[in-house]
Formats: sequence, C-alpha cells, structure tokens
Amino acid sequence: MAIPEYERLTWAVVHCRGVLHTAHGANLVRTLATAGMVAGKESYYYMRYDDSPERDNVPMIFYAVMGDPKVDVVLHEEVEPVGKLFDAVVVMDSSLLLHRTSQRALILDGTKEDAVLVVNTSLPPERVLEIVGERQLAHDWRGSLVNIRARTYDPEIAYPLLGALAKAWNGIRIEDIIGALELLGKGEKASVVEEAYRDAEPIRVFLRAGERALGRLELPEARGWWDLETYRAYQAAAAGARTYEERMMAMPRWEVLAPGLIEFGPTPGEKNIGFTTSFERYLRPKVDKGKCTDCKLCYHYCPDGAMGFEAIVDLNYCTGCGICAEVCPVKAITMVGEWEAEKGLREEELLTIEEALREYMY
Amino acid sequence: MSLQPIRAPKELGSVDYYTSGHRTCAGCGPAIGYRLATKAAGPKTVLLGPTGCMYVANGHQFLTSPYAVPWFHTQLGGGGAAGIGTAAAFRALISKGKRRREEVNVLVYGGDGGFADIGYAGLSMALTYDYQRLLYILYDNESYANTGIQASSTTPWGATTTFTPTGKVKRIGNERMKKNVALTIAAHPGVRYVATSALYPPMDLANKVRKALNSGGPAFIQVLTPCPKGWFFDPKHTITLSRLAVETGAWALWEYEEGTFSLTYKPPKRRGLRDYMRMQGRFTHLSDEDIERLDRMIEEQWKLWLESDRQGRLILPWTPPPTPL
Ligand SMILES: Cc1ncc(C[n+]2csc(CCOP(=O)(O)OP(=O)(O)O)c2C)c(N)n1
Ligand code: SF4
Ligand code: SF4
Ligand code: SF4
Ligand SMILES: [Mg+2]
Repeated sequence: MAIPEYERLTWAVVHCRGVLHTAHGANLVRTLATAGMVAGKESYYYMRYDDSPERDNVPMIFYAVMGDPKVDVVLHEEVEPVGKLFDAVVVMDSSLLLHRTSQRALILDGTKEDAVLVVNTSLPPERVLEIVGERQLAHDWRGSLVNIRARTYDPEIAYPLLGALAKAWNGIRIEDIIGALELLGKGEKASVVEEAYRDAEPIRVFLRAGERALGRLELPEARGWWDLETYRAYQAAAAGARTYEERMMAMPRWEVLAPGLIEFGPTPGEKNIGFTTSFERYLRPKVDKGKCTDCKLCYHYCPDGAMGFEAIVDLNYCTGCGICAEVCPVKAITMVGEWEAEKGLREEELLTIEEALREYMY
Repeated sequence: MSLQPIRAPKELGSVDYYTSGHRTCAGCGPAIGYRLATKAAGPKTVLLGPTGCMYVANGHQFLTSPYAVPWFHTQLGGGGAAGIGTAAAFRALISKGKRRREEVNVLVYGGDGGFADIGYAGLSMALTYDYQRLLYILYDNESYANTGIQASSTTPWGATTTFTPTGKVKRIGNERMKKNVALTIAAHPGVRYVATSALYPPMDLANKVRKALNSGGPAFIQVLTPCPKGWFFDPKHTITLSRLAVETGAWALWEYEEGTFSLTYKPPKRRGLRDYMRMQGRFTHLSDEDIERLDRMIEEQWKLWLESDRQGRLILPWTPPPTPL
C-alpha cells in the first residue's frame, strides 16, 4: 500500500477536535506550509474528513506536506495518507490519546519511526508516554516528545505549539515560521512562538509496541449476497481494528453487501455495532443512582442513545455532550474529565467549549 | 389503530429506531428530535429524508447505519416526492393484494434547507394528496448546517452564518426575517394536522407526532432543534436553549387541526429574549438595543398568537420587521 513518492515528502499532522479547534488547526498547518515556502520548499496543506465530517468534538486531522520542488512531486490534492509517512504529530487535546480516532485508528499509526510528538497538556511527560505506549502504539517509536501547556502562552493555541514543534523537529526552522507569520499578517504572534520555542523541552524516547498491538485482525470469508452474518463480522472487525490500514481492510465492502447498495441496519433494540463514537468524548457523565428519581429525561434527551433507560451510560457511544447532566432535575449527574475518569489525573489544558466559541470564527 | 398519547416520558418506551452509532455533533438537537419522533412513531415506520446532517452524518459510516427501520436518503429537493411515492407504493401494493393490509407510517424528516427552501415546492405538492400516516417533519436548525452553516429562509434575523457574516459594512449578519413554514403549510386544505414543536416541553414532539399520524391525512410538523455547531453554543445547552426559545416566546408552539387553531404552550410570563439570544455565539455581535427591538416585535406578535388562540382561528401574526439599523 505504501507510496514511495509520499514517503519522500515531509509531513506534519495535527489532531484536534471538530469546531472547537477548527480555526486553530487550520492556522497551524497554514503557517507550517507557508514556513515551508519561506524555506524554499513546495508545500500544501489540507484537512481530511475521512468518515467523520467537521462536527462538534469529532476528532479531525489537518496535514501540512512539504517537498523539494526540484526532486519531489508535491501534492496538490487531498490524498489518503497510507504508509509510514508522518514526521511530526501535534495533538491539541490530550484526551484524543485516550481513544482510537475514527479516521486514523491510532494517532501514532502512520508515523515514521523517528517522529516527533507534540502534546498540548498539563500532564507530566511520563504520564503521556504511559498512555501512548498503552493505547497509541502499533509499532516501535524512537522519536521525541514535547509537552507544552499551550494555553498558558496564548489563547490561540496554534502559535505556542508551532514554537514547541520547531524546537523538537528539524523539518522546519523557527526563522522560517517567523517569516511565515510576517507573510500571513500575524507578525504580532512571533513573540509567542519564540517564547514557546525557548521553553519547550523535547525528550528523546523509545517505546516498544506491546504484543497486544500485534494481534492480527481476522477477516471473515464472504459467503454471498445478502449474507447478514458476514456483514456483521466485517462491521465488528472494522470497529475493532487497531490501525488505519487494518480498518480500511476491514470495512465491509460493497461486494459483500446486497445488490442495490442496501446496508443492514441494527434491528430494533440493537445499536449500530460498526461505528462507535467514544472518540468524541473528553468529558463523561457520572450518575449518582442514589439521587436518581427515574424520570427518564436524561434517557430521552441523549442525542446518541448512550444513556440507558435505567440511567447507565454506554461509553462506546457517549460523546460527552453534557446534556444529561444539564437536564437532570435532581442533579444526579456530574461531568468528569476523561483523564480523571480513566487515570485519576486532572488535565487542565482542556479547552473549554465556551472559550472556544469566542475564538472560533468562520 | 390509533397511537396513544404519552403522559409521562416513561411511556415512550425503551426501544430506539434511530439508535446509537452516528457521527452527529456532540449535543446535536436534530438527532434528539429524530430519536423522539421515531420512538413516537414506532416500529411500523419507513424513514425518509432529503440530504442534510440527518443523512450525511447518520448513514454510511463504515457502511453501517443507525436506523433500525427501513430508511431512504433522498436528493435534497426530493423529500416531498419521495414521501408520496412511498405512501403511494404501499397503497398500490395493498390494494393489489400484494401486501398485507396494515398501517405503515411514512415519516419524512428533513431540514430547513430541504423543506423550507430547496424542496419546498415538492413538500407543498405532496401535501395536496390524501395519503394517511404520511408525516413530514421539518427539523429546523435554522441553517444549511451540513455544508458548514449557510443562511436559509428560516435563519433568524441577526444571525451570523457563512453566507451572512457580520462585519464593518453589514453589522447585522442575516437581514432577512425567519420564514414560518408551518403557517404556510396551514394554508393547504388537504392537510389534517399542522404543528410547531420544540424539544421542550419534553414530550411535546412525541405527542404531536402521534396526533399527526392519527389524523387520517398528510401532516406536517416544524420542530425547532438547536444546533451547537451552527448556533455557537456549548453542546450541553441544547435543551436549555429549546426551553428558552419557548419561554421567551421566540418560538410559538401551536397546532392547527382541521381548521382549528390552538396554542399548545403559553408562557405564563414571557421571559426576556435576551436570555435566549445571549447564550448563542451567532448573535454576539448584536447590541442590547437590537435585542430589545426584537423583543418588542415578539411582544406584538404574541398579542396576535393569543388572539388566534382565543378565537380558535388563525390570524397571521405579522408585525413590522425591526427597522434596518
Ligand atoms: C441540490 C443540492 N444542492 C446542494 C447540495 C449540498 N448540500 C448537502 S446537505 C446541504 C444542507 C442541507 O441543509 P438542511 O436541509 O437545512 O439540513 P441540515 O444540513 O441543516 O441538517 C446542502 C446544501 C445537495 N446535496 N443537493
Ligand atoms: S447526553 Fe449524556 S450520556 Fe448522552 S452523549 Fe451526552 S453526555 Fe453522553
Ligand atoms: S435525569 Fe436524573 S433523575 Fe432523571 S432518570 Fe436521569 S439521572 Fe435519574
Ligand atoms: S451541525 Fe448541527 S444539525 Fe448538524 S450534526 Fe452538528 S449539531 Fe447536528
Ligand atoms: Mg438545516
């Protein structure tokens, strides 16, 4: 599947949350691509929807791609990046590390072995590495990690992240980023980038992928048209795939579906097993059953059918919107951060939505 | 068989027909409306709808879908025609004896782009037929949301959208007044039941869906469904905003059954519009004075809504629009 022309190029990817971070992610790759031009490279940037369009909280990915115009064929289209391509990965919300995204199954999947990872977080590096090793590694990674609390520098988090990235990564120089900011009319942000560059402390890391990650995906044999069982097996495999390539492979194919492009949906009482939505969540509800009066409002008002009839949350589907907590008449539901719920850690770098809404401009 | 009214949320039951596993925004109002409406309609339902968030974000993720009943994604202008086509097919199959005689609901759940603008003609045409259990629901998120929030004819005055950005030259954002689609549908003599609804009060939509399906003819409901992405608010506030929309009187809840008009919710004391507007990022550029002007307009409109309710007849609640500023 690997495409050598793509592998020769220099890639940076930015993982962020739809709507909350759209403007920040776009700023970051636009500045990077412009910095590439300042450095005499040819560059391109784009956003990919894959299976998830830009919607509140849905993980989304921006790409900046650079190459030498004399030898490389630089992209001019939004390609599907398959293979070991990425040189640098930026994560705007560290809770993205806690779940597999829908687009690329793992954040560090598709990286070159010496990739740089920059995470916007208040958590110490060892905690971040712990979770990366546990959840985000399909192959060995010997690269660098930079932790940065971007929001302590600037509400527009793209700029401190750029400074930190420049420090750890030889793919781009700080001078070129400053040059790009001038070109883009954002010269006033130069000091933010420089400050973050000065403070960033990249650490070298080597993480070995666990046995678990190497477990192979079992794909079913298609038996024929209208075969619901095969179809379900493909769906389950797609939902459980650990890497991007696995997931692409496991998606149920039109060939195994019925003629006329009919999909098999769930039967009443079931859920859509082929697509879970936990990746949207950075907060989760906690229900105090002692207080609950069984009014069913949280159940009926959950947009994702994740709150059960008996007020038990299905974490495969909960997107963490917070509606259930808001509508509960007896305040039996509280929202807790994903890091806190999973690891007992407080992540202060979570961008609150209210703040994001003030910043997000069309 | 007639569907029973729902007195308490418990009675709506625990089975979903539009179920988990879709990629709408966290806190999506139209998704809540879809869940409630399909639960009220029950298992003997076919779902249709013109393209928009409720189809683009709901169908085809890894070639799967969250619909537990048959569904069909129509062309953006085609919701009306697809609805009567489906209802006609059922009628034909039953009358030819090719299908058991049974009542099947045809529920077309379409956006404001799909029903207020692009597919409005088809909707209007469809409502001149006499098909029973054919229900059109307009989920009004007040924009073309799926394509990135463009103004539609139901976008309220003042709102920022990608088509109506606020700026130095045009401070206001959207300068057109929101079209009340349900009022225009009430002028179709063949329609048995027309209503407006919201996600608050909790069972308002579910009960109106049941009334509509029981009405014995084609029916229409316009339900206001807040959209966190397009209205710029924290997703947790979707229901809070639904509630504020009806309590401030910004959205009047009424039904029109065979010529008789009634309000289904009368705010005991109308809340100031400010509470509703100031929670939404799309109105942040409006001044207090702008909001007061709108509030006075709503005050005038409510005199007419209440008069309609008193007489049981529809009087168009027209008032002069806010003068250009
Ligand atoms: C004829 C046509 N024009 C434009 C489009 C692009 N398009 C797809 S979804 C959409 C928005 C529909 O808006 P609405 O009906 O309000 O639904 P929402 O997205 O708000 O849920 C548009 C414009 C299309 N699919 N077909
Ligand atoms: S309403 Fe509650 S359970 Fe449902 S998605 Fe939102 S936070 Fe999760
Ligand atoms: S809203 Fe609160 S009281 Fe009502 S069922 Fe849910 S948890 Fe219980
Ligand atoms: S844009 Fe609005 S209507 Fe569309 S999925 Fe998001 S919240 Fe729902
Ligand atoms: Mg719409």
